Amino acid sequence: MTKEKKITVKVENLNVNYGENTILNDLSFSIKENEFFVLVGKSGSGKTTLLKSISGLLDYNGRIVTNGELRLVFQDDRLLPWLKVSQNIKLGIPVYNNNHIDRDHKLSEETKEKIVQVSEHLEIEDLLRKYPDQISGGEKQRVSIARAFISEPQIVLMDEPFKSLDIFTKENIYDWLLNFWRKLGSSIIYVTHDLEEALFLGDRVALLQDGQIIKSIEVPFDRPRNKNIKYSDKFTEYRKMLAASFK
Amino acid sequence: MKHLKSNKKISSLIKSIIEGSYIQLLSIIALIIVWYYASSTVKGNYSVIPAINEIYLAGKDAINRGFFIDDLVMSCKRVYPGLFYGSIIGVFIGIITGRSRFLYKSFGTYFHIWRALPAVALVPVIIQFFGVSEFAKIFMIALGVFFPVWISTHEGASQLPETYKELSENLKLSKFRFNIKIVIPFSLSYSIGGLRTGIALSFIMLFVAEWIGASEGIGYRISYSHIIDKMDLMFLGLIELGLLAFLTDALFKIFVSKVFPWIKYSK
Repeated sequence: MTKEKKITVKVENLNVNYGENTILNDLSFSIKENEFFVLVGKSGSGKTTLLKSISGLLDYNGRIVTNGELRLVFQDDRLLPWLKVSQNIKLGIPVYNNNHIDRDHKLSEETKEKIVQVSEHLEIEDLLRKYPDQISGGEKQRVSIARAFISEPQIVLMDEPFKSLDIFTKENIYDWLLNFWRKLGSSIIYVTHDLEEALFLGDRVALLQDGQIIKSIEVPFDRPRNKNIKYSDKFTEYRKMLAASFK
Repeated sequence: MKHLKSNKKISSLIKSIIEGSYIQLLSIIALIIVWYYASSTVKGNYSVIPAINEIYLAGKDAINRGFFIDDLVMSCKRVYPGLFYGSIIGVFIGIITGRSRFLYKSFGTYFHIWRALPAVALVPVIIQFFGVSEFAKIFMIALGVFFPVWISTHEGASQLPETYKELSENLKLSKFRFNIKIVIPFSLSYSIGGLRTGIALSFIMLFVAEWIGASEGIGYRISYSHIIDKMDLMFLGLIELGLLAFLTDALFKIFVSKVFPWIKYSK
């Protein structure tokens, strides 16, 4: 018998209003550990609001329980332009942040090793000494992923992180992200407006419309996934089926 | 390969010299030549604009008698501490009023009224308080520097984007680290404009301070030359003051590129 997987995020009857407008309407769902959950919605469907509520950046009505450390990857890279890439990544390390003196020798060998590993994994090891404005958009977004994952969080929320990247850069980053996720075993809630991206990345895809989940499916493709599955009939069929579900 | 690289370096160096300082140098030389010929050919009243060779001779004499260097040292002893204290306090208070709505509402209005007054108008008040002491002079300069630095830093600190606050909250930065890593660097990038205005104002205040009550310093020398009707000495002082201000501004630019190297990438 396999051990039942732990629930890492549980959202119950979540309601968020901006004045008269209802953004999230009695939303409920839960995520298990090591699950890649993708929420698809048009702009204005409440995707960002949901992630902000889960990460505690917004006031809401209802119940949200998170189990473990949580990191948010923003739509923009949100790197600090005055810190070098390596210093930006270090901001994600809790121990480092609690130290009031930020000298590198205060970091344990283990932490230093981790920075090297993460940057090698995301292929940003040559960028560590540069400033964010000296590197490309795709590189910046990789750095922001490194910053989110360096602390090995149990939960990662990703808010359309690759929206502004070209398709070639995106496909490379998908590979990095999936490898990384598999290694760490975090739960990911990934928000996007792109059905193709959702089906390629997710274990489960849910459609968000008018502040409610209108459909939720298990993605039937085995992992690791090859990017050519996007051209398969089954993939197209699923995509059409999901697209038809939107009003 | 290495040889090729160094060749490339030299050629780019030559290029930058031709494009940059070479032209500046030429323009200065041209001015001196025009000035020299004008003063030796045009007949006129040389007690108004002295010939350039007279200024040169006055300069040589001033160096020999020692007061050229003494004035310079004295003025530096006033303008740099004034600049230093004015900017440090300006940055510090700017960050505080920018971050705390309560403190801004409590004290901001006074600063704004005070800032609207020309700093020079406060000179008689300062003299009334502190006499014509060295402290009073440094205080005048610091006061002139304070306001532009305060307002620019305040603008920066109060405009800290919500996005950075969210980031800091998600990364669970301590309050201390939020200030050190986000608030201060962000505000300082705004201070730079104010600091450059501050440098310009500090020399205005230096001149006024030395004009009113000093027996040494470049400002004193310029006003004293007027009393004894020595135009060459007056122009020498103007050139000395101008060069000092120019050099200070240039050094500040180098300082900025060393301390805030990221600024040039974010343009």
